Amino acid sequence: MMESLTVNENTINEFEIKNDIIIEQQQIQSKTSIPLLNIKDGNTTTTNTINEINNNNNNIETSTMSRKSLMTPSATYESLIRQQKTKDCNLTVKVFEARNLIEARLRKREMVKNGKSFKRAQNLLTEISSPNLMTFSDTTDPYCTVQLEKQKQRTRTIPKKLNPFWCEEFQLEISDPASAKLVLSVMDEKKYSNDEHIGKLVIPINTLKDQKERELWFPLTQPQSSKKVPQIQILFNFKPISLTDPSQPGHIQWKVLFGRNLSHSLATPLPSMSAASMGGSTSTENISNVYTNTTPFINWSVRSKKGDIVIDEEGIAWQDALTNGITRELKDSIECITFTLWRYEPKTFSDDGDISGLKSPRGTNSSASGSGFIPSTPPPSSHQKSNDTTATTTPSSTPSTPISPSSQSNNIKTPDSKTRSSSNASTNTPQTTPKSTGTSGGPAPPETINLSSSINSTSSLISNGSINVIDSSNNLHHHHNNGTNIMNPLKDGYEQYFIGQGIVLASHIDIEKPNDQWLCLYPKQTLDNKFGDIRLKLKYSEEVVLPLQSYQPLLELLQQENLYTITLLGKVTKHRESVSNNLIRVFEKTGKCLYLLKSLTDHEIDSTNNPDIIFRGNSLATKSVDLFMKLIGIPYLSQTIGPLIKKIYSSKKSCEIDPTKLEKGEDIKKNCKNLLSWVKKMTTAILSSVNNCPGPLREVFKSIQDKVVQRYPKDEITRYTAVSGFIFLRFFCPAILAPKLFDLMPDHPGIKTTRSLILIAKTLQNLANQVEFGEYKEDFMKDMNRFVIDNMENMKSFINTLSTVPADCPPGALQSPIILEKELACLYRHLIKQRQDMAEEMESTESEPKTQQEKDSFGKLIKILNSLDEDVQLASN
Amino acid sequence: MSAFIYNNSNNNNSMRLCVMGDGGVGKTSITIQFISNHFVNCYDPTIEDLYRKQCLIDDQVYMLDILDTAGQDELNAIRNHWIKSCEGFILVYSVTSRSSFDQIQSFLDQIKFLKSEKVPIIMIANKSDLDDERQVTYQEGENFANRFGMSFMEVSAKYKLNIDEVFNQIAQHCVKRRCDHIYINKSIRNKNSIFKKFNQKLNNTFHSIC
Repeated sequence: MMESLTVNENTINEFEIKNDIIIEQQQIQSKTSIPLLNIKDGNTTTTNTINEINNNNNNIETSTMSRKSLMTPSATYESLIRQQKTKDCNLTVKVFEARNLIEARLRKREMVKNGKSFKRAQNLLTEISSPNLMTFSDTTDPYCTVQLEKQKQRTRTIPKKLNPFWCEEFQLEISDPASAKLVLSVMDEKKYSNDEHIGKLVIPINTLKDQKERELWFPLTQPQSSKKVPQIQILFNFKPISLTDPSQPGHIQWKVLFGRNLSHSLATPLPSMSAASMGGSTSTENISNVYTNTTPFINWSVRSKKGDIVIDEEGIAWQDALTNGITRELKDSIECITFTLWRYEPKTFSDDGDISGLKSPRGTNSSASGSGFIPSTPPPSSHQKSNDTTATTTPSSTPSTPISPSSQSNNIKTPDSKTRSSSNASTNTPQTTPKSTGTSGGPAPPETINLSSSINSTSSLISNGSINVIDSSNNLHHHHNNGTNIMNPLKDGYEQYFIGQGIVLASHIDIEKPNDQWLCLYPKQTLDNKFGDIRLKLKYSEEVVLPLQSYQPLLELLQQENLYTITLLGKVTKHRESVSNNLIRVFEKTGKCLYLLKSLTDHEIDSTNNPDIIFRGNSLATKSVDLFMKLIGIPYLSQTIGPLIKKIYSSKKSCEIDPTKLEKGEDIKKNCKNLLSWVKKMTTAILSSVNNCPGPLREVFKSIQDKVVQRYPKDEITRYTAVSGFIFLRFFCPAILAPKLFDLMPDHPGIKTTRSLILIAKTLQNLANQVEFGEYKEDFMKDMNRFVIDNMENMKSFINTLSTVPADCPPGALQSPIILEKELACLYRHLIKQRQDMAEEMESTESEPKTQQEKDSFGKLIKILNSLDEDVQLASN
Repeated sequence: MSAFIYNNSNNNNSMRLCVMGDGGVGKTSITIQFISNHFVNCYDPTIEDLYRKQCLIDDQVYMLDILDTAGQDELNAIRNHWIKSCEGFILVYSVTSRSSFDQIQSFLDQIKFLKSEKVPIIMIANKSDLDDERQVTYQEGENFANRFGMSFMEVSAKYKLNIDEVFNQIAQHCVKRRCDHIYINKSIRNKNSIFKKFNQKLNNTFHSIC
């Protein structure tokens, strides 16, 4: 046994090593020009143990340190590890209820306040044309939509409730958890016009990364079309601090590429600035001032993994971020970067010139952005002088010289200098306005600029903070004070306006090359914005999926004779549905599903003493058969009762026969006829569908019936109820009660239809149970007894036929393909979580003593789980 | 709040209870024994049955609506709305089935999720007459119930042991909870003059219940 296990482990390692070598060779051949001899050397150093793979990795890293030409192989190896790591990401959303939704009339008042007069007129017209005109009632019929990437689903509509209760669950797949967002919108369903937004909630998936289950009330925000959310596109060049050499700092460089939906945003005001600097007219300079005052400003901060704020800068001008970007050195591992956009906004629009100035440049900026405008390099002379000024005025912020100078360090420095130079130039411009009024010649402006630089330098030496404009560009508070300075009269009538805030996680920035990201800017929630709350349960799961060969020992252990591992897991698990689902799919993929189901059902029949309650409870066996029916039987179900369900949905006739629930004017005998009619049609549809039932299902039913007959040969009822406990109690009747969950109908039924479906299902189930409605149960159902008695023999015949397998049975059709690696990854997760419980169960003295075979099986399982643990750890790093 | 007033004025003498538990533990037998004083000996699974019975609680006559539910997980889709519409819960397991005892936790979790506020819940162990097949001891059941703040009883539908006591107790808890709610709402409402005209109605309702 041990020798065999060892051989298996060697096989696994051998496969992984070969896989690595093959991929590595391909990478090297496609990306580098290393001679063939080097490849051979790499092969000779490879050996057959995981530890030596790690040594090989260290060797590669060591060689890259000594020779720059081998940088690529190191990067290749990292991408190699990344490619192998496949993840299966899923999200379960359960929408419970909402509360404190805004009434329809109040929402219209909100629109009026926002100045949307067109929508107000439209709503008035809608009301006039509405049949509800006489009552003047305007109710809210809320429902909730759930949207993630390209998946969109909705709940049912709850009429006339401001506190609706939906309680519906949605399963969503996520292909890109880094950027995916869950969007929930609470809508008001309208009969005669488009549905109306009530509130909205956006949850980025990366905030759920800890994979804990959440059940919370979330506040809804103002509904907005996604197209109107402010967004900025940022180009990142990010190198984290080196883990092997802490003294080697990292750096972060970012630059704004584009802005979208920023109100009054000016993407490229630089042309006007250039014109001003080249001696434009007085009016040009005035317009330039107006532009500057309406462009957005950016605050940004960086938080380290320890939780400290290591960088916090405010008031970066838009054009600076657009043209030169920002570069900073990093001395800590960082977690996330926060960007906040804001702008100055005039308090009043009394000046017509301002309005005109705001409007006219927009087209120019758009064309500039479209043409890929690149700013020109400043003249060398002014660049040099400005650089000197910067060094003089801010010595503390100058980055320290690296220990070993190189051209790369110089390259890092240059953008920094350019940024400061540009910032200096832009903040000097307002001061030149009064002095340039009398200038008329071309040569004069350059001298003026130089003169102002000298003045600024002199001022800084005096340490007069109130007019130190360089510092004000980095200090929001100071900048605000500067607004009241006599030198900047245009800012007197302005106030700050918040645009939005966005967060970028450091782990989502590519460290190998510059990359850009679109950042959505969301408004901050204030107490005035009350749009209600919604209660959700969120469960995000992310599984590392290894290659199939890694799971081979686990697969063999699960499929061993007697199914010890599965029986043990079934006893202790608290997630029976999920475990059963994974097991069914694994065994179906490997072609042993019938064997699994036969073993489970036989074991269940043997361990139940009372034949009347066989398969009545919830167990691994009942859940597995149920999931198997759903796996391959949905087309059969849809074909059999789908059309009839549609008719019942659209029928207006009542089937209520409970005297205490009758509405006024309803005739109980007429309703009884309606119910009887539906029941007859439903029964006929099912009893005549036996030839359409998939063969594997009939195999399962045959196995169950044979086992029951063997164990209770004289019992004339259990052989039927054991089968009907699955095909009716767990398949047809649940589908009749909740057609949407079986994809028979797109919507949930209304109240009346639900009641009809319940009564039909109850009658059908009694027929399947071979039991009449007695006097002690619900008395009003007695009227259905004649039908039940008349069809008992037909039901027996149906079940007997269902439990035989002719040769020409149709095979079952899978609803979706089964990926074996994913299912085994989930099973591995379940086994890891229940490892402790299974160990306790093995040692428990309450249940029957365990055989030696069971103990050996459990021991093998522990070894396999430990081995997989190591593989997952390796793949995650 | 107006919905509460409306419901209260129409249903002040009626309450809805829900009997839940694993399949085959005897939920229907317990209910019918309480309603009709008869032990139903044949087993056939329930989908959803509603029974009514008048009951005297604290010198007041109440109409109990008892919802007998399906135990199978596959019928879980309609279970959520049972929980939402009922105000008292009876969780049933069988002493002869450890599996049914283990599943009480999942029923509790569902009730807790769907009921934002605390509701009366009683846990009962059925088939206590089958001592030779017992798999769950009385102590285990009582410890579990105490940990979650539930009342606990062992019953037998066959011999009508403790059946009436179960329903009387859960009904009393519901009545007590209603009185507490009305008192709280009344004190809040007195501060708001807009709703003065409802005070008289509330006073009448308050007296009729308590």
